[in-house]
Amino acid sequence: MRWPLPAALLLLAALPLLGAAVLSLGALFDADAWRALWQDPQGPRALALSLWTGLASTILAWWATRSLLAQGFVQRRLARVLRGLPPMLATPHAAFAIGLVFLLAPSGWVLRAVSPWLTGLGSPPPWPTTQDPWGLGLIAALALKETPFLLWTAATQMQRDDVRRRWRAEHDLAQTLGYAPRRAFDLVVWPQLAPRLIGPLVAVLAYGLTVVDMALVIGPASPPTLAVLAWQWLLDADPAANAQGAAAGGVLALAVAVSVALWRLVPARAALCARLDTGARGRLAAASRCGRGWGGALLIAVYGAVFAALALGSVAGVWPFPDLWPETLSTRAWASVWAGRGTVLTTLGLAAASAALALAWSVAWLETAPRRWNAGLRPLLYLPLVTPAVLWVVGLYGAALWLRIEGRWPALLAAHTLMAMPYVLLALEPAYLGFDPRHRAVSSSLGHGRARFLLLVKWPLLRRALAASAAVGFAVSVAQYLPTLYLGAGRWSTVTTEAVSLAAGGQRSLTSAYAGLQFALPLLGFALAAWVGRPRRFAPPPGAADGGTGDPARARAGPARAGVPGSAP
Amino acid sequence: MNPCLPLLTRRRLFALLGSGAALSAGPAGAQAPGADWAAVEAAARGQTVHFNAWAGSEQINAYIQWVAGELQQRHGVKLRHVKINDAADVVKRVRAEKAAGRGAAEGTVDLVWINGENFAAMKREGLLGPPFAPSLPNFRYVDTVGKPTTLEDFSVPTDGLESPWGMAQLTFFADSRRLPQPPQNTAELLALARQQPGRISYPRPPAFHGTTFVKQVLLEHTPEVAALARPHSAEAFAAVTTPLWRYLDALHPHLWRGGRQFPQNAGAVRQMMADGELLLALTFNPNEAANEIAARRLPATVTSWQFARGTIGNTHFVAIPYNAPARAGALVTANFLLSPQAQARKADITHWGDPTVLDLARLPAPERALFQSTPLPGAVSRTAPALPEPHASWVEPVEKEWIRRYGSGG
Amino acid sequence: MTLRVDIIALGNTQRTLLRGLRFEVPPGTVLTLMGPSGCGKSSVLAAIAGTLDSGAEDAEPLRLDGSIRLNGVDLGPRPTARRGVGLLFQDALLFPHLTVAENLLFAVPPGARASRRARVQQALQDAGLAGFGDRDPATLSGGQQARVAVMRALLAQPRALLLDEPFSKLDTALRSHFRAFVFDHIQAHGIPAVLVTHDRADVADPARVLELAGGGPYHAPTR
Repeated sequence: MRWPLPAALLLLAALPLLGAAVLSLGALFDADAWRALWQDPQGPRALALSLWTGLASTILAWWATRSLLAQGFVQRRLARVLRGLPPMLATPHAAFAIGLVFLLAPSGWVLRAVSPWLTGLGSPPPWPTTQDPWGLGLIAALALKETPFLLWTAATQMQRDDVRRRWRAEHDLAQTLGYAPRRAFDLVVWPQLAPRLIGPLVAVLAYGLTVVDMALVIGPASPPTLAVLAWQWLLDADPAANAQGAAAGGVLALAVAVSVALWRLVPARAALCARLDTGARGRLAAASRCGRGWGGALLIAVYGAVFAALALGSVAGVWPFPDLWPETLSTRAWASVWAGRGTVLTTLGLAAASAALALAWSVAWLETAPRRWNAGLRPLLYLPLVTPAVLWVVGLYGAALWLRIEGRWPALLAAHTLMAMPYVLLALEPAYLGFDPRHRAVSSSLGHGRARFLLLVKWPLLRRALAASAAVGFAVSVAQYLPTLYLGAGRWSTVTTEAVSLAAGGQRSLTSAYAGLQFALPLLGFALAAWVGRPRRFAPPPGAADGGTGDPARARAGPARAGVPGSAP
Repeated sequence: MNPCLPLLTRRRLFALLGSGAALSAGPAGAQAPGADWAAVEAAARGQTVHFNAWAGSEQINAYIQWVAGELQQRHGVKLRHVKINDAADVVKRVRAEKAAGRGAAEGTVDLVWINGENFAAMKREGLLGPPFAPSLPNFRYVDTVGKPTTLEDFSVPTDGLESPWGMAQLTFFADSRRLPQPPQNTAELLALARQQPGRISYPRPPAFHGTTFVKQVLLEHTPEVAALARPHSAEAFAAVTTPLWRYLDALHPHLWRGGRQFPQNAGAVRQMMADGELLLALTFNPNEAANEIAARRLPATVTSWQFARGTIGNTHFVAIPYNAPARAGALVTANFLLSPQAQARKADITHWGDPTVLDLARLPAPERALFQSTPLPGAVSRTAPALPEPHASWVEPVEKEWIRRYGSGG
Repeated sequence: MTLRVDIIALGNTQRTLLRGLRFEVPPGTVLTLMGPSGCGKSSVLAAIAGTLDSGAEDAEPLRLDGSIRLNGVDLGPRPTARRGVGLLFQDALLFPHLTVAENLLFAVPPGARASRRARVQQALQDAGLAGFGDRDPATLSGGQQARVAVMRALLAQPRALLLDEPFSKLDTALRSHFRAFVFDHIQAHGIPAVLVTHDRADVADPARVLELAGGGPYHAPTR
């Protein structure tokens, strides 16, 4: 009875996914490509760089998330933390990297601020502060960009009431056993939260290992990371180079799989046991206000500086070093953004449609699929996340060609939906699956069918999670470049394709201005989601303050009145 | 990102002088324009032409918008600018469509801005439709004698499969306040690098501006220029390129970041030059600096120049794939692009500043007058000869060797 | 080690939960707080343990106006981790990511590894759960979990023990057995304890019962 629907959903998603996967990885069965890859002089070092930057940035982001979560949890500021995240999440990756480069480059803002009075430099110094050969700039940029994402997914886990209350109680219990709040978090709450974050962690790891646009802007150049090389080869006109790129993409996908496997093997268990053995209670830092939130402040400060750099860069004309302020200001960049505003409608329409479809599919899937299916098929559904984007698009395009739908609106929509689906599923799953099953029982016992239950009880209660997931899907769709270009055969321009085309010309002001536009759209999506998902305002309880009169009549009217006859008002 | 095809044009000096006559007669299969053209124009009315062109410059995009307006008005053809990042994208798309069995008129690309290796690849794999260039009415104005590269693209004959659109030449530009004495050849460049270490760089090959710089050095230093005009051979490679590597070995230690890192593309080099991190930048558009000055992104003290003995120059073209659905519209568009009005506006620095492929002497007086323009600050004051590009087959081996020697994080 | 509680007022700016509650608990005895739901019994325990700001994140936390003295020392300025006050809830709240033995080990004060483990084994034996050390807490029955929770609270060597309706989830047969188990241990350890419940049968010492209700607290005779 209930099998046809999830089976149909599965087919609907799995067919394109598998088809695209087969087509993209089909290039891997070319021995010449592997040989060429092996013999390429840049290969080994590029691979090492990819592994190093991907893993280091993920570990750094993981550590930062844990620290910030601990602070937020202990100081009961999690809700505030969550509110500050959407602007950071909505920042386009490439724009963030460009802003960061502008801050840190030898001719960047930081050095301009201290030159020449502090450093005595009249022209930019030859220090490798960006595009450094060790990839440190890329690691920093990736960690800064991924920490808000991990924080956000952790916070969605905490949104489940039952879980949150229980962890809060366990945390208090651990404190009564003598543990300092921070250590109690590390030993009790974190080991339970961390395994639930494996999904987002895989997404972050995959992104770090396969990122192209950030690596181009701020990563090492000679040689670049393997992801950039694969991208360059796949974009080449020469089929042999394409095959080599596909092989490199395969290596990267393998690297992702191996990294995830290694991560799970990390002896977190052993470390936990070791700490239990000592029984150390942890330091009670100055009234447990450990480090007064400096980590969060640093994150916000960096993002603020990047935004400021982009904003100023977008109106800057001539701006030689070491001027702190541009010599000339010009709004030409914004004029050209205004001229390109037609693309905004296309972007909005495409993003809204694909987010809606992805949400509908995810809700239908989570609602009807048996748990076993869900757990077992997760690797398949996360395929677009893990495969390098440039390889994935090859597969999608091949599928579209075969179906003769390339260059048409349905193909474009399907591609965007397929890319948004894993993120939407990732964002929605914890809240949806954690929904108290007893509500269903109560609703049925009151005589309501499934449809009424969904419409009147479940979905209204899950409004926040649904809206947030849709916002994530929306943001993902806005950021798509290669799928729009290939499956739309270039017929449709979105804000991102415009931005990327103009970025190729290297004008900082244009790039910054378009980054502003690219940023505004997902931000609107998140703002809308926050508004839709706000909790219902109930009227305050009657007679909230009894003024301490202790009037028994009033006391009986209220819920918890401690009217004490005879006590002084 | 690989800044695509842009301004690569070819000009052949030596071999051409010999076979110039044969070439100017036109490739086989060309038809003289006539009553057929009226039929083409009639068929083009109402068609939508998807013109796949690099979109990295606002001026170019604005110019294409102007062309679209004119085409709509004059011929009822709707031109859509499909913004691409790299012509290689289009090559792959058409190749994939052919492999998927798309027949004539079932493709997605009507007209593509292309040249060099990308053209060579498309021609080799039969991805371009029947020859058309000489049959265009405006083709008679093209300067095929003075600009031989309009008929041979990187030493590969066009065979009428692509129609010339504009000229390009390797040009340098720098702020004259910081660089009062611009270097006039690669030897002077080396001396400058020694004097001011860490202030000069070029884009990393295979980004094509970087490749072009390397080709420039090659042309200046190689003992056997004639070998470069012929297809690549492994035996000749060592003899031809040894001086190149010797020069680069001497130059790199004095470059930015010790020659161990290179900027990604010409845009990055230009930005660094504007910031003061690098002394000079390079481009293929002789009028780029003037454009940037006019847009107030560079100070007015920036000047452009070309090496006294010549820098590499070539022609860029538009081509029509075999499966273009709006072929008639594409033909009308290509013809309009060759018209004196369109070429004059394109050569005008205030609009784009891309040099024309037409022979001004052949134009009637009123049309010739369209090409008068006052020089703007930052434009090249003394044009130098354009050296011909090496044969297209030399590009990849040179790039590979460069990467092997310098591109692996030595 | 007497526990002296003097609550002048307990509430926040929106409402006052209770006023004028005062009691004293000598070591080895159990004071029972009774009253209908919502009258603030659990909040009194929270005030003693120092976990008052642990309520719903959006609601304003309750504040205590008064003093809590354990053995003459005012616990007010101390954070929970330094009060040495144990807490037992309705739910056993065994940490699900640790085994039974690890849950117990968690509570033992720092010291030599071998002696800590020995204490854990001793506690398991005391509770009649020898051999259950490596089990996943979720596989234990309600009664077994409750026993482990008690042993865990006691292993930390608390100076006072607070019990928030710890028996309400157990069936009647188990209840009396478990009650005796808990009260015996409290007496053996010689610490004061406060028990909150709404079931008369749970009362440990009929002489030490405080009723919290609209009618006001009734002050137990101090000894």
